Amino acid sequence: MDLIQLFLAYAKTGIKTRFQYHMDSFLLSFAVFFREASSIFGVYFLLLKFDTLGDWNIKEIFFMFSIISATYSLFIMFFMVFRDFPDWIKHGDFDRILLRPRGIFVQMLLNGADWVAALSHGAISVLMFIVSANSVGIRWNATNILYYIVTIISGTVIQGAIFVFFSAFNFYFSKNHGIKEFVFWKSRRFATFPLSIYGRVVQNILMFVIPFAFVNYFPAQYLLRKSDMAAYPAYYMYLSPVIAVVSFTIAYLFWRFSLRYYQS
Amino acid sequence: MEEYIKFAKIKFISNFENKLNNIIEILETLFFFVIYWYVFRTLYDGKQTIDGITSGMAVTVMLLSVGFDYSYYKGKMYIQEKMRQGTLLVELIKPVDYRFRLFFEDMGTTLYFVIFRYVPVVFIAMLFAKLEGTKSVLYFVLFLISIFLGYIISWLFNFVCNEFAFFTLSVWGIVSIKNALIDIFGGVFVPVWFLPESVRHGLIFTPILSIYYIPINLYFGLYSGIKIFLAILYQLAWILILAWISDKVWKRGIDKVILKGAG
Repeated sequence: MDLIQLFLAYAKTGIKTRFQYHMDSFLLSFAVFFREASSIFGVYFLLLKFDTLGDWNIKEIFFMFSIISATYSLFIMFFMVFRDFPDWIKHGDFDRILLRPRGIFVQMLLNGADWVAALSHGAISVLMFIVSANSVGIRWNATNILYYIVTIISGTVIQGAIFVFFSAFNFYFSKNHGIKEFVFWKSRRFATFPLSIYGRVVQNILMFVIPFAFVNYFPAQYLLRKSDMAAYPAYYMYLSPVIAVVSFTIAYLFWRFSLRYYQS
Repeated sequence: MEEYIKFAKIKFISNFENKLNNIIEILETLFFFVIYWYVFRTLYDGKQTIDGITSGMAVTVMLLSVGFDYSYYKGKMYIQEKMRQGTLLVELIKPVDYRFRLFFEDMGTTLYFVIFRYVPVVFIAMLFAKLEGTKSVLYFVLFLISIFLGYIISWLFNFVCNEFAFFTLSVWGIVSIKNALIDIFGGVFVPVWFLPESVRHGLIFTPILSIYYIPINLYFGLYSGIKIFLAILYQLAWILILAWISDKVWKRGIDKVILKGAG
């Protein structure tokens, strides 16, 4: 309860700060929305010409995209500090957190959401969901709804784990070389399309190294049951929560361990 | 002119400092290309041509437009930054035209990016992707002229968007929307040939087709005779239009800065 109150307090100040200049914030939100939507526009125009990508039609790809946007939107609400972590260390903001009477990691999760981006990505995911959810043959019964909720939480945690893991390196090297961003955003772009279109190497990277396949492809397969799922073991469709817990535990332990080497 | 070329040269040389960034950028462009290479492989799925476009042409278009798009240095938010720092007027009293200086500096950086970030990607892509060559040496020369004109148009378009800094708090949004429009309609996310005909017709009234689409059509030799001349003329017209708009906005903006002393 106490944590929720703390999150709400941070959220309130965060939103007030970001939306101080109405016109500017509106334009900024629209720009983020439009920038993200641009890749989906590209897919839309391609499939207008080609009808399907493998076995996937446009609505099914929209549905898969809605999962990645929804999880990313939640990810931005909780893990943004880890994105900007080199700056937090450089400007001494992290020292401020160390002095406060709350858990270090918890404070970082609750603080520093990028609300403009979170709302824009959230809006895309809702839009894509509305456009696709009722026309891709999913029966929205209790089991599927529960599966969907678990998928969104797992996807958020998997992406968080990637960032927490890479941000731990900033305890050793304060300079940001852009590698974390590169690994994350470029892999995420691959996740716009069904995993099955890629070659073996790319597929393995997306399954076992940067596990974006478990953020949206396998969960979407559980709900859509496309024919290309035959190439993978069926239990992969149930693995997202496990991957989330395992990857987050590894990332968190590595982060805690690296914290010892922080020299302020 | 000589001093402006020096500005370009300095920027070109100063980029040698960040060699690690080159590797990251090469991988970034390559990853983007690889995604679309797989996408087109799946979309064509054994078909030879779609609307007269072979899969080799579609893949080559992506390599050209994505590669140049990543190489074109779109700069910092120059005017916005100077306005915030209050140093714009300092730039104006220097004995060189600030806008020309920026243009040449960006060109120096872009040339560096093309040589050290884009060309390696082309060589790597040639190892695994079946690319389509240019129609003839003459068309390749025309392509080079046209892509250079396209670069000028892209720079001017970007600069006009940056000039909004005179009137708004932040131009990040405007510049991002402009970039997204070029990505969607300019051929970065989807070859322009595959856009619906009505959309393509509408795009004639924007500078977007001049940036990559016209140079690419020349590369493949899709224009001939008078059409080549008209295509280049169309690009030159857009340079004039954008330069005129940019100049008008610049003058109004500078007046505002001088009157309010905000620069």
